[in-house]
Amino acid sequence: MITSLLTQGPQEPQRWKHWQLPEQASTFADDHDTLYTFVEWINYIFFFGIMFVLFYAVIKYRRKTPGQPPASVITHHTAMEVTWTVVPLIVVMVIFAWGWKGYADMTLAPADSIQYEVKAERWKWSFKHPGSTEFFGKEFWVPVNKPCQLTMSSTDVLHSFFIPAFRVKRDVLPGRYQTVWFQATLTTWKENVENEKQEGFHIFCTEFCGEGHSKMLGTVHVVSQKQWDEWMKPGAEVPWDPFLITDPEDPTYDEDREFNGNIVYGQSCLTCHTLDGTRSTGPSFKGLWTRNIKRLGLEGKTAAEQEAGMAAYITQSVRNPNAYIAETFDSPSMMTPFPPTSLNDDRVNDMIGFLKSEKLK
Amino acid sequence: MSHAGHTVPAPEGFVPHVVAHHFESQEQEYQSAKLGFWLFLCTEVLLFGGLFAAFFYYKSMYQADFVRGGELLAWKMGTLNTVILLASSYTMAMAVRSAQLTKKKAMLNYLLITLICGAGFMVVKYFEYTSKIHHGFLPGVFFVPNAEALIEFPGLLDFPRLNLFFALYWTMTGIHGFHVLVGMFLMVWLYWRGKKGHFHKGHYMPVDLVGLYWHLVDLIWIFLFPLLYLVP
Amino acid sequence: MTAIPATPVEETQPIEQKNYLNVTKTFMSWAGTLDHKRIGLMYLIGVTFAFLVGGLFALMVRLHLWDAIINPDGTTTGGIFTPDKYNQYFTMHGVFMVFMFIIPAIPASLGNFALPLQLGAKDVALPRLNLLSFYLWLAGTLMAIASMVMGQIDTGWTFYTPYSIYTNKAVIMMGLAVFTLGFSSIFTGLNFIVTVHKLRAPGQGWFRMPLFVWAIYATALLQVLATPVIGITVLLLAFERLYHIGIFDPHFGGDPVLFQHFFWFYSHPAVYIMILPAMGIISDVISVHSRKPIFGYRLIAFSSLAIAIISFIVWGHHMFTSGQSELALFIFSFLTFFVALPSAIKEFNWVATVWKGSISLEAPMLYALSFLVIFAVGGLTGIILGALSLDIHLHDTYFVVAHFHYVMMGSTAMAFFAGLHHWWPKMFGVMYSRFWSNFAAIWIFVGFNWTFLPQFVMGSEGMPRRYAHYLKEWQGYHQASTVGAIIIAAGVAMMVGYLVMSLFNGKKASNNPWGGATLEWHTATPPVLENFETQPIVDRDPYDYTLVIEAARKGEL
Repeated sequence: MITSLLTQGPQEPQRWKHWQLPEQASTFADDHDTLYTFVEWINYIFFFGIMFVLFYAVIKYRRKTPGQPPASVITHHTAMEVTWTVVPLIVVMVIFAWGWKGYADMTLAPADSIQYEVKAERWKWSFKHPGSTEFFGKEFWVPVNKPCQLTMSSTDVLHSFFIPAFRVKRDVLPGRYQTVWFQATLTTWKENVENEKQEGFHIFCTEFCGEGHSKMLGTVHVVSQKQWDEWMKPGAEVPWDPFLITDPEDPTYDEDREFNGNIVYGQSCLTCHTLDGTRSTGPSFKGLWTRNIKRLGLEGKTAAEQEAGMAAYITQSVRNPNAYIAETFDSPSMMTPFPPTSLNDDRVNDMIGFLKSEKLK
Repeated sequence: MSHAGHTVPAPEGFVPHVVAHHFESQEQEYQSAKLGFWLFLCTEVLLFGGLFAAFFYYKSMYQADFVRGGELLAWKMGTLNTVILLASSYTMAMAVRSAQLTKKKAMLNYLLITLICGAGFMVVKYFEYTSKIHHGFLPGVFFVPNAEALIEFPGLLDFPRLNLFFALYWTMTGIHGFHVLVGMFLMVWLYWRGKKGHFHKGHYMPVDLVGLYWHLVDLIWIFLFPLLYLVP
Repeated sequence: MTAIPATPVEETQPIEQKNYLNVTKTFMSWAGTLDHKRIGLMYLIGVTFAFLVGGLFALMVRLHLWDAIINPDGTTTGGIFTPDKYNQYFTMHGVFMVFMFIIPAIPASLGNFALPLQLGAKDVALPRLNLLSFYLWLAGTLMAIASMVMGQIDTGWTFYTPYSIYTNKAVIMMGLAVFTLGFSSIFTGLNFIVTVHKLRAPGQGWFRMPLFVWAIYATALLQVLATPVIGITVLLLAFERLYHIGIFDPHFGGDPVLFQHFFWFYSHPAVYIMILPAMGIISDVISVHSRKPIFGYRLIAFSSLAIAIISFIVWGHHMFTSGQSELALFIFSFLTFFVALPSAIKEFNWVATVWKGSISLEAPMLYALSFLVIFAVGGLTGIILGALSLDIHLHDTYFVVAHFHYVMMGSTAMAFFAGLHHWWPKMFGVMYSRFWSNFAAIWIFVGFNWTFLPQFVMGSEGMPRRYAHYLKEWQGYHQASTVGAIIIAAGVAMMVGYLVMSLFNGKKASNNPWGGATLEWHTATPPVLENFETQPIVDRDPYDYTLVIEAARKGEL
């Protein structure tokens, strides 16, 4: 009831920028930043007011002789005391009501919101876009000026989903669904530019979740309605499903797998495994293929046998990281297992192709 | 260094009590100790309060499981324990009264009976716990009902949250049982000092305070018992 | 007989007066002491140690954050420690500072020393319990150090589940340490409540008590009523780790948000356990060093109680984003503003006390004035965080980190320094260097703001907290903050330096160097073992300086 009394729904935002706050990229930002500025100025007024009085008093009423009495000994002044109780009370009630209203607007997503699913795990975000069946990390795309609702859950510990530019944040819990919604107002996606790095808005994890907490970054891209409509056509090529279809019969099978594997690496393995030989939370992927060919005794076997042996090992490592711990690393493993819902068999196959590639061998 | 305060005269054959040096009078000492002890009892209430809060929260989340769990508890043994504790509270109060009246023999007897009641409580608890262990009704991840239990209590596996019920059962009754053990230890201490003649109408404060503790332990059980055992 | 002599103590002293410090000198006479003053000193050494250890961890964190950058492609550069080690260090910083320094510091060291003196009593009501409290603090600290060796925890001082259930560190040992430290706190609070009720000097009604006593009393209520909840919480967490009882773990039907409720039910009142004694010190110090009665005595006394009571019903404001119902959020946000009001009223009262006083700028007063400036910022930024829509953006960012350092360090720690400098002559009978103490006070004030002001801006821009690496755009703020931390460290080193030096070659202090009107200033410096030669009787207000001013005019102070 309280919500319905105060909620008005998203309005056309005016856009301005507060020097401390990120750019205003959602319909929540304007009201949020206005309230922030209001309280900030109240802060400045009270703070500098107090400072001025203190500074003045300390200089003017400095004790100059040992026996100097105070200039006055009043211990009460009813009018002042009432004023400085009632005025702050009114001010904070205004701030409360304004903050409440802003929050209430954030809770009820419009009925026609575009639905996304978000998965948080250590240590990456992945997103399921409308019409898609797979989770893809670590970026997601939304159309401008359309409400979008995210249903989020964690597979392990607490995380928190934060997009500063949109002014939204919500803890993501294991065993429970949380929702958050927003309507983006600033487009970031550049169209018709091949191979140019696209910049979106930052996504951060803001609930401490372990070693990779600060590496759990993501990006949200805001695209124009036209671009979104194109992507929503059935069969369209979409950036959240960049994987090539790999076919063992294809001459480009290995290259395709390597291409896909590179993407999977960037999404799921980068946080803990390097590609240049440096040791991180987990062993580096460089030389992994060769090391394990030796370890598994596959040297001298045919290429097909080697591939089969390594495929079994890699699949096992991904699905059950505790099965084999690399030398010099601690047992039990720190690695989160990737069940087929996280990394399906195609993607594992891609990883095999990636690890097998010349530059990593 | 000596903290010699003034001495309170004791009846013939008893040990006089020396008031601590920083107190003006024995009255001040007695009132301070009593206030302090009541505050301590408040903290105990809050400690158990947290557990009760958790219990109520999960009971409302998993009502069916908690009802089923309650049915699995030995309410007859629980009732016996309630009677034992209530009786022991009476004897404890009588012990305090005896101390106030300088009736040493009566006080010692009442303390002894209270101690025996406490021991009785723990013995009944022992049987209760062994029965639960035998059935496999252990807390949390160790809740694995064995074949016998599954026959005796059909349909247990339909209630996935019994592990949580038993986690709370073991934690709450266990911590309460620990407090009973501490109480028993305090009885022994009182008995030993009482035998030496420390408690009389001029100084019965320790008996009084341990009495308060014992009453609280009883009171907590009075709430625990119906909540866990009797609700179904 | 009047309690407050018009003429202070004679100048000529016997060669070595027997006081509480030198009346006995054996190790056991200190280790087994029942004297509140000696216990207060032992606590002082202990909490100073905890402060320095916590500060060292902070320095390591800030040095690591000089250049710990994460690039857009996910690779990291710079920094000194691995993320795992970094997580351990910021956790240890929090644990040491919160549980071993800030919560006990003012009540157990300065409170233990000054409260019975201010009440005209010979000791606290339960001296043996007081000693037990100290040894519980010591035991808890040793357990915390043991857990560091066994597997330094990395959960943050907040131990949120499920992470704290599954991390392979010595969480249970640290939980037991917190449990033990909790009991130390409970018993101290219990002792003070009984002392204030039962051991006041004749003539000292409730409204003739110094405000420091009121503050400690309100704190003690919180210590007794709130701390058991953290006790049961860490116990349940231990059981969860050992037996997977499933109370906080969603894999077994539990609720991680329930843990947060349990945790903050104590930890919010805990922050008032930290700030209330600090406010008590400020009331006393400002009044004495302005030689002017405190403005609005009763209002300040009642506001301490009001803060204590309201602090129990606002804990949910630490959890605005964790998925509580809208009704709960409404209530918690609403009540949070109410807990801010008594603090605001106090701030105005203090400023009104300083106004038109007879102000002397010694180290205690400089720290107290620092407090007034810094607490204003801390409190006002708390108002920002209380507003729901703003907190959604600012929760778990550096804005919160800056806010709580402003109130916990900039306010509580500054007040602790103020009290330390205020009562130092009474405790040890010596004066510290006037120049160095004033210099260090200003130095630390500058260093503190240098460290934490940039963090407000960073937080508003979206920089999350507990990050081992950050995006390059925030490096400027981080580097400024690190420089500030080094400045603070230098200032603290200075402080420890001149304070220790004063013990060896400080000038002998008179009984009442500042001109205070409360009872502790009207007994020997340092006090005799039994505190007073004869039982004082109180017949005037604690902030009535007429006799003091008279004595000062005659040059007798």
